[in-house]
Amino acid sequence: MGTPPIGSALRRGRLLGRSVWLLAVAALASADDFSAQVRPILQESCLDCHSTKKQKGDLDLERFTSLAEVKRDPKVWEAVAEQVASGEMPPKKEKPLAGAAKQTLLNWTHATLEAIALAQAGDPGPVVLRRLSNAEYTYAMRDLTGLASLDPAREFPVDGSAGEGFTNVGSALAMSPGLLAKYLDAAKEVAQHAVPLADGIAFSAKTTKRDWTNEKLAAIKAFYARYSGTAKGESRLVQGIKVDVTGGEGRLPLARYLTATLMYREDLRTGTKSVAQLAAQLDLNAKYLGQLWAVLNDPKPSLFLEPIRASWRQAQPADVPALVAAINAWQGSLSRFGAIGHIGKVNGPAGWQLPVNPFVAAEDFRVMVPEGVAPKAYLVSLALLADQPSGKLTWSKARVVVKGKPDIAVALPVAPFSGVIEVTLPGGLPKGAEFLVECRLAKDVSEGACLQARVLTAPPPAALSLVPTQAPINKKKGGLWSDGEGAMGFAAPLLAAEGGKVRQELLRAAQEFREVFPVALCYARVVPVDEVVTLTLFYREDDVLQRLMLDEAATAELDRLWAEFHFVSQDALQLVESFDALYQFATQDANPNAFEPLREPIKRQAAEFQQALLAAEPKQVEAVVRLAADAWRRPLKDGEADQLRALYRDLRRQDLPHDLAVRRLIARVLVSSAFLYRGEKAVAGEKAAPVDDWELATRLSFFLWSSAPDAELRALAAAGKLHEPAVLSAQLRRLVQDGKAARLAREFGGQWLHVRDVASLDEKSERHFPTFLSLRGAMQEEAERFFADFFQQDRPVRSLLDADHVFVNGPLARHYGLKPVGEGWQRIDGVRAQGRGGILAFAATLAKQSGASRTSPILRGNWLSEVLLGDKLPRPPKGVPLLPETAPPGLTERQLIAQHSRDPACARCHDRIDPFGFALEGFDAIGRARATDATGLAIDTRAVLPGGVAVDGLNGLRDYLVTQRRDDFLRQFSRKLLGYALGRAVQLSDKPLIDALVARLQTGEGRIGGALELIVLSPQFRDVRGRDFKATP
Amino acid sequence: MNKHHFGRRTFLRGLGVTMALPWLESANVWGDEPKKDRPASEAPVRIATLFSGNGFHSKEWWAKGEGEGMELGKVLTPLKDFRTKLLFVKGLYHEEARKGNIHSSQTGNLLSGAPITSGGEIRSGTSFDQMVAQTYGRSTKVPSLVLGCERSFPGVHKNYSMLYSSHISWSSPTTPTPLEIYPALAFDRLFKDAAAPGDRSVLDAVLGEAGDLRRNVSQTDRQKLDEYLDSVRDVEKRIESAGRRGELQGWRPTLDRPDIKRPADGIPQDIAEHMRLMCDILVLGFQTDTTRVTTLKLNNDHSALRFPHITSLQQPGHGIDYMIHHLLSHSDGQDWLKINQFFMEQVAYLARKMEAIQEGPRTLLDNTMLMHCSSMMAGAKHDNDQLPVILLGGAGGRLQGGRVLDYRGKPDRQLCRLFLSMMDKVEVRPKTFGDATKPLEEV
Repeated sequence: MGTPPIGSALRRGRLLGRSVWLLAVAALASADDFSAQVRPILQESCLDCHSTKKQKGDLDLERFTSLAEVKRDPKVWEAVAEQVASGEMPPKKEKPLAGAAKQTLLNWTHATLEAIALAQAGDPGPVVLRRLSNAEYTYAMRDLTGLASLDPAREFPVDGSAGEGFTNVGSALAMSPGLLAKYLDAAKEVAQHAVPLADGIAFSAKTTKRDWTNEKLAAIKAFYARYSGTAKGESRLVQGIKVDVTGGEGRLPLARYLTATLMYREDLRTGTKSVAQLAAQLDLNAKYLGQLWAVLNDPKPSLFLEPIRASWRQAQPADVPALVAAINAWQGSLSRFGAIGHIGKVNGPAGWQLPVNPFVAAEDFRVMVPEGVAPKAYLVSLALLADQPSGKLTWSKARVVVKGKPDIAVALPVAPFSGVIEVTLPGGLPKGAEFLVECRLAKDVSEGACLQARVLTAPPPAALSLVPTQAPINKKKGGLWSDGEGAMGFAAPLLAAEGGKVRQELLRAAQEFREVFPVALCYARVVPVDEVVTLTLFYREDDVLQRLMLDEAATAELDRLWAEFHFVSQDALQLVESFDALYQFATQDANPNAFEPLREPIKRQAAEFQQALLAAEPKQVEAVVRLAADAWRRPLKDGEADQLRALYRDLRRQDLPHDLAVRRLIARVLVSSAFLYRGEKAVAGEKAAPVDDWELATRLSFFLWSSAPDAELRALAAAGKLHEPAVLSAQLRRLVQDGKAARLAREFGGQWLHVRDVASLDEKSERHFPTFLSLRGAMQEEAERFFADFFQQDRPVRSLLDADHVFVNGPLARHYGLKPVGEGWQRIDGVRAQGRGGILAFAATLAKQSGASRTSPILRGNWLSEVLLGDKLPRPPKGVPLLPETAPPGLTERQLIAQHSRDPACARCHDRIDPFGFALEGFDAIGRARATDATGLAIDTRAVLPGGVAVDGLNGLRDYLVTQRRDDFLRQFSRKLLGYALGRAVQLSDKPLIDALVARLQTGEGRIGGALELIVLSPQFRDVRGRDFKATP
Repeated sequence: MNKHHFGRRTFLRGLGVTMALPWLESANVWGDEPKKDRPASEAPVRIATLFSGNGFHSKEWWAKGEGEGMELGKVLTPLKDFRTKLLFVKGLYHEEARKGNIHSSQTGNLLSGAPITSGGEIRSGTSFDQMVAQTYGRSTKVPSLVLGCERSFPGVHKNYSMLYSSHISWSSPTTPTPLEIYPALAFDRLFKDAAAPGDRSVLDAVLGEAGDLRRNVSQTDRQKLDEYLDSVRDVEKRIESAGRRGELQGWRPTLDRPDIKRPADGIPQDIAEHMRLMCDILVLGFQTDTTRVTTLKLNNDHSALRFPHITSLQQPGHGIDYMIHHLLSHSDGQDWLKINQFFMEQVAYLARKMEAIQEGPRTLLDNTMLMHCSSMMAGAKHDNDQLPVILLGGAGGRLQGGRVLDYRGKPDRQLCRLFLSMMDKVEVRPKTFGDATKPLEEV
């Protein structure tokens, strides 16, 4: 055991009682006493062996000739007190100390040590420059980059622990060329995760441009998905290949909004609920919900909205599907989707979602002739305006067309302006025969004329009404893949005089409809695949989304996402090559000239992007400079920023491309001593002084988060406020509440209890315990979750022993014989009655302190005694026989141990440790409850503890610890926590603080928060020794 | 291959990221892998994978007979001198490559057999050459060289990105291995001494900073910082000596520096010259043992290459310039055959060069597996129910040439089984690869 036995020495001193103790200090701690009373005892009982000459056990007590010399090396005297008090010294075979002499020696030693402790109380102690431990390095790297997936230290050698047994003590954190090379490797690897952006750098879990592009794409799609609904993608056939035109996602989720307006119609009308409240309640977009509500309640007439409003006024929530269908029909009539792949080519579409205005002065109809003897066609016209205007409608050029035969003219009667003409067509024609007819408004028609014309092959209903004009018909047939869009026709067009007032009115009404009922909010697919060879790599069309749903901030976010996407994907440059390929292909079987208008814009944008890349270079360098300040946990010193810039220039001079030079610059920041070490300035002189606020922030965050300070801590450090006790306490509470405090649970709790490696423990016999491998991760995690909850819920420290709850997942719960709800992690209460609760019953500790195939009461007892109670046990003698891996036939594991410990030489220690282990025999070597051992022999969990207390099993042991050893337990806990917080061994001068911690934990509930605060506000935590500190008082 | 052979460094080097610090504990980083099946004194096995797009002439890709008596279809006539070292493999295919459309979805998984994602997304599978690069390839300075004679197209064709038809080599399912199409840069990649560019400057800077810090700290802290400073200096020294390559045990390459000049910057106008240069660099990489894995994509599956220097039979008096490669393949005529032969001449050129390099008892060709493959059998049909594959060379005595292997009509005729066989010859032995679980016994 490497730790000095201060704790035990102090504890024994405390047995005197506080008031007696102080008297003793006054009475005994004088120089005269040492010469007069103590030296003679030493002479008589100690110096035979521990003389300057003999120095048995490397101990020379002869050299202490005065009190001053004792004060110079108090550690030796802590050991003396320990050894004498426990009866280890003088050895059994020598003459024992006379009762009075022993008491005198102990009283004097304790008093002297106490005096020294008081005189030096608050000494920050020797905190050696600390390299970040592997865990701290990993967490700091993750926090700095925001990448939880980073594991840069996975190939590092294991850290050493020191001080109170933790891996955060400078003296044990070595550096070597091998390790430094690994740091360089790791820094370069992390630098691969830097994503260059136009205004700096970001970090990504991925390391290739391709993957970054995908990430940005996913971010944009996720943004769109927040607002839009999905629909089944519609496809069209292009050269035999189905390509997706509509994009599927990105639709206006009409049904949800309409449902809201119907379900809460009264609330909205009466103002019981505001639009904003309703939107928040239903997770809808308030901006659109408001517009929709206004449009639905707008009394102003509008041709296409009117029928929708009328239905809505009558509708109940159950009618939403019908309402949506009605709106969809008109959406399909008044909008269409263009193919994006070639936007910009000759005669190409202007965009994706395009307005359709089915308003014409004439239309050519074409319908299939129905089968039958005397098939009929119905020419339908419906006047749409109430006041009948003057003018004429003509149907003409009626004919039947059969492929390969002359056209057959069809005679028509004179048409009414509004009404139906029934026409009988020639019968018995081959399949594929079509009836063609032209419909036209006469020139003399008045401006106000407006009607809907259709040609049907089934009789129309008696009462005609306005019907959706239906999706436009693309009249183009055949052609090349490079061709643009052709003319359009309509199945049920609205006829109105060109340039007339009615036409204007129709256009306005159609626009009003589209504005509130667009088919799609955005092209959520982003990557178009709607041509044989799709040129456009990424396509943005989200103006509708912006107009209907986004506020300024959201629009800015979307713009930023798109800017980053373009920058990362470099599509402007890729398009140059894409265009060349497309052009080459078009030279072979299409018309390359169709794409000529694209050439210049693509070239220009590529050139502009090259400029943008250049402009971004210095910004990325500056981003690394900013990163350095974060990584180094302090503002950059004079010249440091310039040195970083100079290194970048130097690297560029060595022909490193910009991208690589920036990555090397990042590596330089991350392999720097300022990142790898927690440097603290010591002030000149002997006196301790407070660390500066930046260093304090670092101390605090590494204590609670095992990582660097976050932005809030840095801001407080920059403002010079952190050292204010109220601020420091508030930050302590904030950090403990943060999820990152789980690391305190893992690093402190795990290392204290020696369970941090249980997840990788592979010493268990697979044959005996086949389930262990699959459970060991959960065992360790249980301990971590328990401690995380302990810190975050500010629980009493004694609850570590007597908690009535456990954190388990399904498999671990069953391992414990508990009934889980589902397989996930959960808290189960009332477990004391089921033989669990607290750290004593962790499978992690029970398994760790066992053999491969059997339990070990010795290991468990030793662990409990040393780790939980801080007892100082002597080293085992040499030549101890190894116990067999499994108990011999007829013996329980306990009996095996008992046999072993019967030897008097062994019994002295084993009597102190084994009973603890016997009490835990009710758990097998992987922590399961048991009544019999592996061979079926009954388990005996009764034990007589040191001091003669008889207990039985876990409950008895726990009661004993909580009642009779509570003080020891709290003292050990305080000592460990303080040692962890300070990153060094607890020393004599910390005794007053430890006393205060124990006192705090003995008061009231004794919650952990109070202890944390005492530590963080202590001078030890806040000060640093002067540069010229001298150990002698 | 054991799992631990796929470490981080390995992986990164496979990606072409120069992360290796060869002086670290892996002392054998320049040497041979542990657990070799072959003596260290033997020359290593090299893998070259060549690709040309759009398949071959529908009637003239065939071979029959054995050894010297092997008869070859017209496409393969350029290889007639190497019949005894030629393995003609018939009837292998990729199930996944038949599920999509044509070209892109037939090419992007040619070396992996992985499912391929449509709709403009990019997801395929790690190709076998990169699998080898990330393991076996780490023994050399350059884990793998991935070359191309036609740049990649990023657009989308018939629902699949043309990145698929431009890349046969994939270092991860989402990342096609970047192609080097500039001969000069490919040359630099092999021979420019840039094992860790900038490391020296980085460490210098770090040293300066820590030195400044040292002046202001306590004695004990100073000792800690010295530990750090000494380590930095030590690593610097190792960087200096890293340029000098460690002595290999046993076998040494026949050439330790390139014996040709660095090619001129830019891309040669003439496609024949471009291909020739890339072939020279491929051989040089093997000969100097700078890399053991090279993948050379002669053109894309959506190839826009033209061949003005090759006289047309169909349009007398002209070069085969009237059609780009991709559409020429649809014609299946005399000119198409000529172009097929032109590609096979590149393979023959490589074989001839390798055969002229003696490496102990065997030639470089004997120590190489040179594969040529395409995405479909005949460009006119876009058919990939069986894929055209030939192997040349001896794989260090492990591959028997002069044979025709016919898997038509047999079960388990996955092309990935051939990749498992090829990987097996360099001791890379994943349990499964693509849709295959066992190598081809005959190979």
